[in-house]
Amino acid sequence: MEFLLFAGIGSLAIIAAVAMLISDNAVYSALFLIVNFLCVAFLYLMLEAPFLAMVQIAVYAGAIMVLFLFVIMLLGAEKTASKGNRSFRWLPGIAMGLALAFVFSVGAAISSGNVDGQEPPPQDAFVRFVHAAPVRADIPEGASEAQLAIAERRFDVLVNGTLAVSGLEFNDQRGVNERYLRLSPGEYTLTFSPAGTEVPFKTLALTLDSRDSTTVILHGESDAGLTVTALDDDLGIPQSDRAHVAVFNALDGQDEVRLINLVSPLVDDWRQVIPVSEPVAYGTRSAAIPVDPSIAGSLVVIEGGSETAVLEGNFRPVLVRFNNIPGLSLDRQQSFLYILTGQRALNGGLEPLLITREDPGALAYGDPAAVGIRLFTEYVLPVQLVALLLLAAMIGVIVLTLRKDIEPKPSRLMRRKVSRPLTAVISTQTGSDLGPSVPQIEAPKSASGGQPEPAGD
Amino acid sequence: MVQTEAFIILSMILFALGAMGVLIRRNPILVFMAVELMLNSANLALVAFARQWGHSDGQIFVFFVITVAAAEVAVGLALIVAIFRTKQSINIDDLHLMEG
Amino acid sequence: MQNLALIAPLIVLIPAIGAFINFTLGPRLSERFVSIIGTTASGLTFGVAALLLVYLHNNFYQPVIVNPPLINGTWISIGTLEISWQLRVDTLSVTMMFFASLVGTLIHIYSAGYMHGDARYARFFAYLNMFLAFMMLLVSANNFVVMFVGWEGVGLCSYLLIGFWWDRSRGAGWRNSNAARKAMIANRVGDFGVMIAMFLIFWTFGTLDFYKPNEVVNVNAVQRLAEGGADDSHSSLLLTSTAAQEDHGEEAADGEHAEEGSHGPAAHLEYTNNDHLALRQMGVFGQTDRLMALGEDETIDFGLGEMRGRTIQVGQYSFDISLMLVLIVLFLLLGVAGKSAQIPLFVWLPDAMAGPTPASSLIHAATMVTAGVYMMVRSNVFLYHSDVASFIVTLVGVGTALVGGFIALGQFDIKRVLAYSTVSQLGFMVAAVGIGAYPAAMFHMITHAFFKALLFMGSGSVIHGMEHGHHHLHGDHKDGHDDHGDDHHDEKAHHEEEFDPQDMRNMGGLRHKMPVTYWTYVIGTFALAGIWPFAGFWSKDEILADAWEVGLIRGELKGFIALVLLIAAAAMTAFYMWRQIEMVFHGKARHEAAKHASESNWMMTLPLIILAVSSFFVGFINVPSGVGIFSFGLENMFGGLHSLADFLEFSIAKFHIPAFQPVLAIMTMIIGVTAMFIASRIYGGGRAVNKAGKDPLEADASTAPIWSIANARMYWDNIYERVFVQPFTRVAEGIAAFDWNILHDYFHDTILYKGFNALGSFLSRPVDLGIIDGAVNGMGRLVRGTAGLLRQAQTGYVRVYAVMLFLGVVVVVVLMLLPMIRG
Repeated sequence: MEFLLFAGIGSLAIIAAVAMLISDNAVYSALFLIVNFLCVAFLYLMLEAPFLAMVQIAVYAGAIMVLFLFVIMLLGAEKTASKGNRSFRWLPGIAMGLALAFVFSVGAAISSGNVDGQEPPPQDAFVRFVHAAPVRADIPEGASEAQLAIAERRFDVLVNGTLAVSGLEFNDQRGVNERYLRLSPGEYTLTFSPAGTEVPFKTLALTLDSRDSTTVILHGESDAGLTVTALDDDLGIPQSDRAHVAVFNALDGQDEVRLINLVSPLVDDWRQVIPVSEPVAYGTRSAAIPVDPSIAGSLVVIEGGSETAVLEGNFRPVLVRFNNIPGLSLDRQQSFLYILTGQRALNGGLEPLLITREDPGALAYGDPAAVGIRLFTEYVLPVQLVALLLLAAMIGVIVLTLRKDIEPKPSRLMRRKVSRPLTAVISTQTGSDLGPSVPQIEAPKSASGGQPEPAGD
Repeated sequence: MVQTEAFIILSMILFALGAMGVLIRRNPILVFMAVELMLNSANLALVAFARQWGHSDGQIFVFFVITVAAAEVAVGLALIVAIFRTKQSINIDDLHLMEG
Repeated sequence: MQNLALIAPLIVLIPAIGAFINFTLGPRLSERFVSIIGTTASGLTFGVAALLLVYLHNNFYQPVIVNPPLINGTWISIGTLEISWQLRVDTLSVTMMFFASLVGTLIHIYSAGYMHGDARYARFFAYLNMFLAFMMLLVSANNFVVMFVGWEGVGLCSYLLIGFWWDRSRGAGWRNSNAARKAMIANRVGDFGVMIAMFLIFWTFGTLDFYKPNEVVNVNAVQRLAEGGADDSHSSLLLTSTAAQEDHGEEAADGEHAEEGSHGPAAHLEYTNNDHLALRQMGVFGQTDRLMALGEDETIDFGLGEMRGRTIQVGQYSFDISLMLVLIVLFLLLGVAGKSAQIPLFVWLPDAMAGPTPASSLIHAATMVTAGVYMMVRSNVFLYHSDVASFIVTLVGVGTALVGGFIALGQFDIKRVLAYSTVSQLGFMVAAVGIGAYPAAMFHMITHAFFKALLFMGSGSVIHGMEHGHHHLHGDHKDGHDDHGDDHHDEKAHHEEEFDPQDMRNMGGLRHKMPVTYWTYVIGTFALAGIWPFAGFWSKDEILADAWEVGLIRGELKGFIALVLLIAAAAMTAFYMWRQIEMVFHGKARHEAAKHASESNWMMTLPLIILAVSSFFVGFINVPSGVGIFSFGLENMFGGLHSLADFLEFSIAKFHIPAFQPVLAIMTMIIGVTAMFIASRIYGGGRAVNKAGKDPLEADASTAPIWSIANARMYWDNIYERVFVQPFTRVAEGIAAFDWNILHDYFHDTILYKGFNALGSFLSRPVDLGIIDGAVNGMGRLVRGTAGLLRQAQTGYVRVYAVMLFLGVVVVVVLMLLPMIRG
């Protein structure tokens, strides 16, 4: 079905192109080209490039072709041209031949090659590091620098031996996206070492594929319990307009946690709890859960437990309430990864803490927003250059079409004396030669820019 | 979804048509239009491949191409206007001053 | 008194200054002034010579070596060769100085009138003074090199004076300059001999000084003087000087060389012999004595530890000293032959008569030609020690005397006769030197100077008179015409006949026309012929007495040869001189000019009279003992018997006076008178020249061949012309032709010029234009051609370009897709 659509539109495009070529009237040719552009725009839509389709229509069909038409009208080129010289009789033949050669070669290539099976070139993978291990309560005195660093949970990250991130600390920032570390696909050894030293403390082997997005989380409470876990950010969510949420249990000591929707209204003395996620074991992540933005305020992370226990109202204490997290909004169509960890309380205990990470995930392909974002982040420089180009083109056009010899409308007075140049008059009266600095006043000729003889093809 | 090959074939045909138009037509404006046709065919190919690979880089490039094409058209048409103001003929065969 | 010797340098300086003044300012001064300067200079020179004579007289004739101030020190100092400007004031040199300057002064006075009106009057006097300066230097030198300076200087002045009239017209100037050149060349050959002799002397002795300071020349004489002397003449010396010697003994002004002559008799003579001197401290002559006294392998101390013997080392050859002496003397003889006109170089002297008469009479009669004899007398030690060399010297002298006399028989030019007579008399002197009669040679030199000068000036007067007569004859009353030699031939071109006033055939009977000239000429002739009591008798007899002693008493061959042949030469002398008298003065005038000749004015006759008187008295300076009354006691005028010899004794080491031979004297005089008588028979009484204008001897068939040889000057000049001059000229012309034709024309023009042009055109056309330009231009053409081909692709049509583009695109696409198409 789709193919039929494609075939039809494609044919239309071809017919329009051919018609453009063989039309005698230039305006007809322009109109046929517009039809062609519209077909191409439709094809863009089929190729999941809505933005480009609109740009095509607006710029190409709307601006460029209009300009064409203007110029055709200006030059009066719609009429058929005179016979012209016949010196290039050989040209159509050769052109036909070359075009056929081109078509045949590309066709052969396509047919014998494997267009669809072409692998795209590998793109960089993204890795980000999240430090979710709380600082130890007791910091030994007189320890070595390494031990001190370990105690204070300050780490350097070495990727394949080279320092990638230095001074990774337990932070409690929320809702802030970090820059990703871009790495080309391959196998990597991530080494966590105490800050300032290059002594490996914890290592993790990681295989990165093209366009992988990975979050590496460091969690654990005790020195020995420090663990490094790598999470694939692709939450496997389809394209939809709903926010998704995933929870990672990094709270040492909590075997399970659960994300539930704590609904306020009391019914039958039962708090209505709606489990949102499955119980998440320590060191694992839940699946991506579509979440309604309205329940953002009542999302709660509780300790794990069975559903029944929850339903019975016998639930564990709340760990974290979402409405306690400032700046968190689920309005946008985003995906979030929540990392449940704890921070040292004053009494030495561990208080639950939620680290939010927005899922970079797979940006929607063809999404104008995505295109826009990419344009202005990665391709800023070319955009600016093209803007400069446009500016130059504008100025160039003005300069090119400027007419220098704007002669004033010849007055009747001057018309009478036009036969005698001013220079001669002055020279005879004053006896001096003013030279050629005085511009000659020519008889008006082709003031309108010329009505050329009908020229066409 | 439609095979990328189909799009490529379509693009190829359009490109060939545009090339022929450049060579055959004598009106410079029509030559320009054929050039635009060629550009469009290239854009089509770009978008098709972008879709196949899932990169949006192809689309971004197309964006640039369109922009540059616009600028080029403007300048080219201005040139044509300027030239044919003096020549009074819109036959590109009359333009052979720069011959060796 | 001893400081008087210090004026010796003035004797060279005064005439030099006079010459300098006349050279530079002369042309601007008047004739009178010029002549006054010249004559004064000459007179002052004579005064200095006289003072030196007085000095010597007061100084027991001891020699003095004077160092001229301002140039004190060595002139040349190279290795062991040390030559300094030392002047020697001793009796020999003072004798020469005295007589040369005396005659010179008289000549200056004569020239003042003779050269009147000449264009280069000042030049002449400058030359005369210059000549005198060089002559003085020659005779006063203390070493061979300084003497050689004077030797060459007088040669130069002789050249200048002979060729003085080089600018006469119609060939006369060429004659004069050729004669001058001949003189110069002959002298030069002689100079070569002297130079070689000097080199040999230096090699043999290591020095060139005659005598070094403190050296005694004649040991015998000095010892006699010291002992009080048995010779009465020496005692007179002692007597006069004893009182006046108290203040002697002071040092000279320049204390380096104490004048050894400043010693009085006996107690005041510092040295009486040379035994205290090492060989090194002696001059060449002293060394010769010592070295020749050595035995075969003996060596004596040279000084400074060096020993020398008879063997002289010359490079890698060694010679015995006697051989060296022979060589030295022979080379010196060559010099004498050049300067004093001996065989074979005498040919210049007759031609030298082309010069002005004063020059002829001064230089070529009295002074320059005696320089050679002086040098020989100075080198008496060499001659004494070398029998071989002195034999050869004697032969040369005798031969010259004969040749000169013989040629004089056949000459018609009055001056030519006198010239060859001079040659003959010089031969006498050299022969005398050869046999060892040094004082005799000097004596003859002095007397000859006087009477030869007299004869020359007399001939000048005769010529002058002949010219006067000639003018008178042709009504030409131009006064002030002096005889200027052959110039008259040219100036009288309007005469139909060629008139030579010097040709004796035109003369005759002049005794009545020119009596003073006649009688003075006769006196001169008698003196020359050796007739008692005139000067020539005494001097010639001295030589013959010496020859007698050497030849007959001592038995040496050279003496015998000398005796016989010199007597023959004396006879010839008398003969040709009387012939001349007959031809010129006796008989009848053979030409109108002679008929109208008149006596010259007093300026010319006065010197004649003076010289005639002198010719009489000068002979008495050296009267030998045993003459008795025949000397009229006139010797006492000059200090007694052989006072000249006594004077010279202290300067001549090998001094020798012969005993008087009365037989010889009488015989010689008889021979001379007989010869004169024969001449008068042949030439007298108008027979001097016969009808055909020939000489009687020429006409007579038996004597004609001999006479013609004599007339042809024994073909000496012809032989030289043929043997030397012509080949030389031919070689020179050949070389010039070679240079011009081959080197210039061929080599330069053809090879160099054309070759260079060819090379240049080759390089410029084929190489530069063809290859290099071709390459460069070819490159340009290549580029242009290629561009021309390639530019045809630029058609200018857009569509063509588009086709090209698309074609390229298709090609690229196909290439890129090729793997895919295949695979």
